[in-house]
Amino acid sequence: MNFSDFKQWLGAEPYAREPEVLKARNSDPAFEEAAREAEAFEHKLESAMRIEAPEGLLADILALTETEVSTKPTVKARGPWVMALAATVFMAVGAASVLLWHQQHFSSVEDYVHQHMSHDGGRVLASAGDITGVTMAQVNQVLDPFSATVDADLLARIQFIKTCPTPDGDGAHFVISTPDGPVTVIFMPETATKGVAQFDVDGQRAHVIPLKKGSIAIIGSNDQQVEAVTPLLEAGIQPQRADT
Amino acid sequence: MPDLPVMTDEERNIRFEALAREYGTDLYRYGLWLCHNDALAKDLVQETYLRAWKALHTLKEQAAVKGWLITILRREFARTFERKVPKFTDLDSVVIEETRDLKPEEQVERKMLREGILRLPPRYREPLLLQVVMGYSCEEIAQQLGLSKSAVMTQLFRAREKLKIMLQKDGISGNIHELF
Repeated sequence: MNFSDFKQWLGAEPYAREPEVLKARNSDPAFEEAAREAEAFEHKLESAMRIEAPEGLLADILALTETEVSTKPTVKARGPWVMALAATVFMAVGAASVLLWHQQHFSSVEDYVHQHMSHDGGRVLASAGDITGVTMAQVNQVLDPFSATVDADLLARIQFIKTCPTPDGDGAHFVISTPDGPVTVIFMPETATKGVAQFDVDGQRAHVIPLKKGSIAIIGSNDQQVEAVTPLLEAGIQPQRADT
Repeated sequence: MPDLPVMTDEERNIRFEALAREYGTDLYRYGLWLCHNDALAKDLVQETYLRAWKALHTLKEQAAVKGWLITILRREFARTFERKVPKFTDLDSVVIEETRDLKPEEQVERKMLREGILRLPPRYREPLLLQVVMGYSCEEIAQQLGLSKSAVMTQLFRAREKLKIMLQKDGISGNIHELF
């Protein structure tokens, strides 16, 4: 093995211990020096790439199994800690998605709803199935940044809520129960729309309505009366008192 | 390698926890270097394990676990970026830096090295990640990426050469961008 081949090999496998590599290394001080340099560089590379995992990563992964179990329809109602854990995991996953979503630009509200539902709409809806409610504190934690809150009627219908990106900053992603089953609601506090809009979203229906401030998209299956939820949302999402 | 027997729920939980403990951190690192974004890396790891949990019963060979998880993460990453490519983000915001024992010039060098890794073209970066972060051999990388071993060795060599040149050049001109 000549020196050029030896350096190429070290560049690919700095810790190579194949007999031919070791033999070459021991054959000449220049080879030995090249091997030491390669290992020193590799040490720097390893140190640069060794990034600490965030606290709670393992707990979040393990909590996924609880969430999965909690979505099985045959499972009886679980303790509140499981629900809280499941909600926390999905809030964490939702928050994790926010950074990426913030970097996106949407050509229209329709484009945004398509992208959002494609990103996590189905997963959130399915997983929220057995999370049978949230507290006002949980809702306010999400809605406080938008100076908004919900009334008691709407609170009673909310199965799940998390922060989500919208075309104009953060908003909220709800799953609310209706007589026809759960529907997805996306609250866009800074996105104004002109009038009501309806469109298909990958086999589902979206119904977008303006609010006094911002707008809301309601997404449900074709056999769900998504429009029927409108009054509940229009009345239920309210500005916080301090801002009125 | 013998096939694993059918799992009970308890065995499934135990096995899943073992996978999480053994590979969770490495997969996060791998995901972070792949996508440049802490939040997305966590998301990728969560999604990987969610899919792994659902399909755990289909995994026959214990030896294939690591490659299986990496494959899930890579597919999820590719799926995520089918339509959207995130902007480059600064790793400094997520790195818990252990710089107490580093001299100032070593700190600068490490920062430059990280920037260089992030700017490597994917065809060079990914084999390097599999080798350094996931501990793969050249044969395993070749198998994971569907390449020949010689192609992998060439890419690894070039990846390191680019990083070395970047470190040397940056000491002179201070511009790493023209190298990538």
